[in-house]
Amino acid sequence: MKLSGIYHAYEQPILSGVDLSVAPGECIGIIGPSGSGKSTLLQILGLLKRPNAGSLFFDSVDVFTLDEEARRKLRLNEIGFVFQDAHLVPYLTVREQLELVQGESETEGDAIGLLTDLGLRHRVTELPERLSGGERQRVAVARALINDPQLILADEPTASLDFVNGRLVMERLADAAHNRNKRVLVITHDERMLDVCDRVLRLRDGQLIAI
Amino acid sequence: MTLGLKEMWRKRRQFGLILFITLAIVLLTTLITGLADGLAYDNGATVRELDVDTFHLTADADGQLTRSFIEGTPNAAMTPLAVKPLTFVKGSKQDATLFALPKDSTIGPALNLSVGEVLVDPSFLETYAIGDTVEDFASGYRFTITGVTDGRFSHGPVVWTTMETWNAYQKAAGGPSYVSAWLGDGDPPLTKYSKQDIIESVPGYSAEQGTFTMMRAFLLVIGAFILTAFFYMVTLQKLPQLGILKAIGIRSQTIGVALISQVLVTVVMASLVATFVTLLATQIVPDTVRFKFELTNMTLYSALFVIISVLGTVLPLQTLRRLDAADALGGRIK
Repeated sequence: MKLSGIYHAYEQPILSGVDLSVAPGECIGIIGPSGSGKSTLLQILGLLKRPNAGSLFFDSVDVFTLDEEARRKLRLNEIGFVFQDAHLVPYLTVREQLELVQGESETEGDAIGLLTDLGLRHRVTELPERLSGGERQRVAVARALINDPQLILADEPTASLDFVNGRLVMERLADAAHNRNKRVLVITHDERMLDVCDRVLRLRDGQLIAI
Repeated sequence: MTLGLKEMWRKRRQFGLILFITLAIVLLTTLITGLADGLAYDNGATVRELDVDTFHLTADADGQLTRSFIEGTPNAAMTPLAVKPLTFVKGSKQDATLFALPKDSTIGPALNLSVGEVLVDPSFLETYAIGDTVEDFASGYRFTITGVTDGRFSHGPVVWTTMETWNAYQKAAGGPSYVSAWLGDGDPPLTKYSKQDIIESVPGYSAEQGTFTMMRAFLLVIGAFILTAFFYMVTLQKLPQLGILKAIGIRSQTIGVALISQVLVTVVMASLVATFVTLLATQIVPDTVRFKFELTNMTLYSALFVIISVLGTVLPLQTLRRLDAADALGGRIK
């Protein structure tokens, strides 16, 4: 996965020539102050926003040349999302959260095995309202992994959690990179969580700078 | 579809309330339909049940059987029908409409009657009994009640007899010999009407049914508005969650089908319950209230409700279609 020369502006430029390559098995942390363009970068990486200029290559294909339906399928099958507040479907059980994504892509991942790996085997029939914040976020990680995507994008995944649970979620994300060979990009404000990442980048003045 | 059904089941309280309100509106529609059908029956059942499609009346009758006076025989192959409102007397008075057909006609009820004998609607027996001889108040002609046959016309009971009795009655009344209509195919020098034209020409029929039709139309539209508003609000409440689903690659079609299935299940359940309650109502309402369960009409209005409600999903579906999944990242969907 390679991001090349990404430029995007609202009233003022927010991303000015962002380049980024993420290798399989790599976990990258991205930090930056509010308004620095982290969410815009994530939207572009998640194929939800087309940049004013630049390219995003998946398997040597510039995804912004694809139509909306092709990008949706790419999001479904090749990108896993973890959001700040888990954002699970409130009326689906833990297992059904994963089955919804599987059903849409018609894949046959081992939902129970994945939930077991994430320490959620005993919670598969529970609704999100009966889970702790940490458990909910781990279900979100499982949902992101169930279709065996190339890339995991995590948007402030620890922001709603206490340190211990936040740490657990970050370790699971790093584990997805290191043991499942995924590319993992984590945007976070919490610099205490970044030690699990292989690289940390700061978004400043519209550019990614290694720190 | 299972996504929508799971949501309904796990949020039973919320959807139960929507179902209850939908049921109230559909039930109001089916009950009004029952009343409309009851009055329609009370007004034109006898004509509706005649086994003939074409009526020939005088042009000045405007399709009203009781205003048409035809002398002579326009066509021997056609069947005469005589209709006249009478006031019967035997102690107390009872208004009814006299219908007469030839004894051997198969268009109406079997009239195996001698001269002077009549068959009456059961409601006529609230005043008189079988075997009674009742007198026409105007002419003094006497009719003997020998049996019962269902028949209502212009909100009153029908008294059936043969053309022989009709002719005998006319002689006694001292008026010209006439019939009200000739039935069947033919080309007499009269004005041709369909059965529906004749029914709609019964005094008050069109005004009554028109009123009920308008009430039902308003209820259908109001019901569809309410249901649309409910599901629109439910959709607005779920926008952040739906945005997330779109962001992770769930098709809008999957989410849309879930919404439509919820509307369908709500309206179909409400229609089934309302139809059942309306059927029960036929057993409960007093005889003085004209109420009739016509499955065809119940099905028609339930189907209309379903169609209009599904059309009402266009608004929430449009909202869903326009939802920008990009806003799901960064938590900007409010």
